[in-house]
Amino acid sequence: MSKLALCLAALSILATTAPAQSDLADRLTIHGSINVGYGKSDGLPTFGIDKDGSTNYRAVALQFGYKIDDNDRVVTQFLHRVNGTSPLNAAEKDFAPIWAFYEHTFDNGTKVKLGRTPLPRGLFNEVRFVGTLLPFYRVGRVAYGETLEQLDGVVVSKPFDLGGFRLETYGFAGGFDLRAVLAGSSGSTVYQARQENSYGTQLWLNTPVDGLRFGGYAHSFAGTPRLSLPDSLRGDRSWTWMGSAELVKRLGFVRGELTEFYSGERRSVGSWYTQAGFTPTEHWTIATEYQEMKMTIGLPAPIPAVTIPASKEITVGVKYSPSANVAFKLEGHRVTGYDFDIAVPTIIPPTAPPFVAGIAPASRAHYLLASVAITF
Amino acid sequence: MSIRSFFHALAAVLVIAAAARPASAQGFKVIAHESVAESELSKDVAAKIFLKQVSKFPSGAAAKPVDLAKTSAARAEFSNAVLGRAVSAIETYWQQQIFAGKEVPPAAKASDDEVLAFVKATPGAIGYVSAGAATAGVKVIAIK
Repeated sequence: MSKLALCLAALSILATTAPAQSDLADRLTIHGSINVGYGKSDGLPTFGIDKDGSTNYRAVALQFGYKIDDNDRVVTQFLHRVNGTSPLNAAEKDFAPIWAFYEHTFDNGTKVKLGRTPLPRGLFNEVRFVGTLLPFYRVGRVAYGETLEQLDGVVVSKPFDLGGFRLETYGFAGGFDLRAVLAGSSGSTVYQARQENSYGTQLWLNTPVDGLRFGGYAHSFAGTPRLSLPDSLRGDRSWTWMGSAELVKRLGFVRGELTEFYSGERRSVGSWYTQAGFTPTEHWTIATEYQEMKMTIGLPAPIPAVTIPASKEITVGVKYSPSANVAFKLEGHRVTGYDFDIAVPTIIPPTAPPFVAGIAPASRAHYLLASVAITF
Repeated sequence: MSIRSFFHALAAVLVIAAAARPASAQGFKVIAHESVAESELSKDVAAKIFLKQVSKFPSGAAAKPVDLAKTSAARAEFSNAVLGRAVSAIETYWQQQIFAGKEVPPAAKASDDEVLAFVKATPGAIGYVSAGAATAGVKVIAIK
């Protein structure tokens, strides 16, 4: 279903159930999130931040919800996102509906979302644009990337109370756009491919220890070539998973997530990150993060596949929140590896037997990011 | 009695006094529509209702929670005593719910009178008001 059709469907439901104006304030909710930043690198451009610096760095979300009755609602969220000089900007619309879904809640607590919905994936996927909820400007780059954000399809969820534990279960099916930046010698391009017939699950186990929870996510999907291909040339199904653990207390937090993508036998990406933060007062947080990505790249036979440490990133930041709705952040990053907005030397082709590819020395960049986040 | 013993005794008295403090002495009263079957709720169940983690009372009737404005002193007391977290932490919780597309917070009324009016008029409604507020026409719910 196209975005336009989804919006029209949501608006038509609104129109056919329009209540008296006095009732409208109880039914209509409007929320927004603004996350704006300035970034500057000391060298290689990383995720849209180069050595010239950029104030063209923001994510603004505007959400409208309409409660049709006690069990039904429609929600749409629009997003305006710019990532400095990142090639991903070419794949972004200035202002686009990233969600447009109808939700029904059954009497037993089961919820069904239909349409373009947030994809339940890990700790932060659904709130990835909301700066007041994040210790840094954005979610962990290597684990989340700028993909798997929404799902066009259906999401079913149901919580279960198990003694002192609370289990939240999600099942989903549908299609999405897989997206990544490919930096080549002739410049960077954005790889974007529609994935259909996907299905998966996200589970959360909230423990009796307040603030401690564990999560698991698994998702299988298949690329859909736009050109008609014989079945023999179509790729295998791909799949990805993510494991999460988080402890949040009044004085701080610690969390970590591990994810892997498998696409055929000779290509895979494995990433993980861990964050820790200290909150000495309600208003201040000092946080640090380490993230790492390894990538296995298949090479032409008979050369064996090679695994490279694609990216290692250390971040330290401070966040000041005068209220729950406002946050000021300053963060410094050090990135080491091969995953930048422009191509850097990566694989050294073998020239003699035994034809094993080598790996070029890692490149490095530092960048600073100052940002302000507001929600309402 | 030595000074050290005096402070130990004082600390023990304060701990016992705090533990024994009834809900009505905490600066708020939990109220519900007269049709609500329950006359008392555990803190855990009350918290789940106000955080919209459950949508029904233990009796099975639909629950419609209502909040006071976030600047209200009674809300601060209620939040700490029943939800177990400060108002700002609850605001963060609601941001996570809203921007994950999951839930929106209960409506927040500006005054005790507005909460009373809503609870009186809405079957299944549950809210809280300042300890000194009149509660004619609604049911006072004990929180255990």
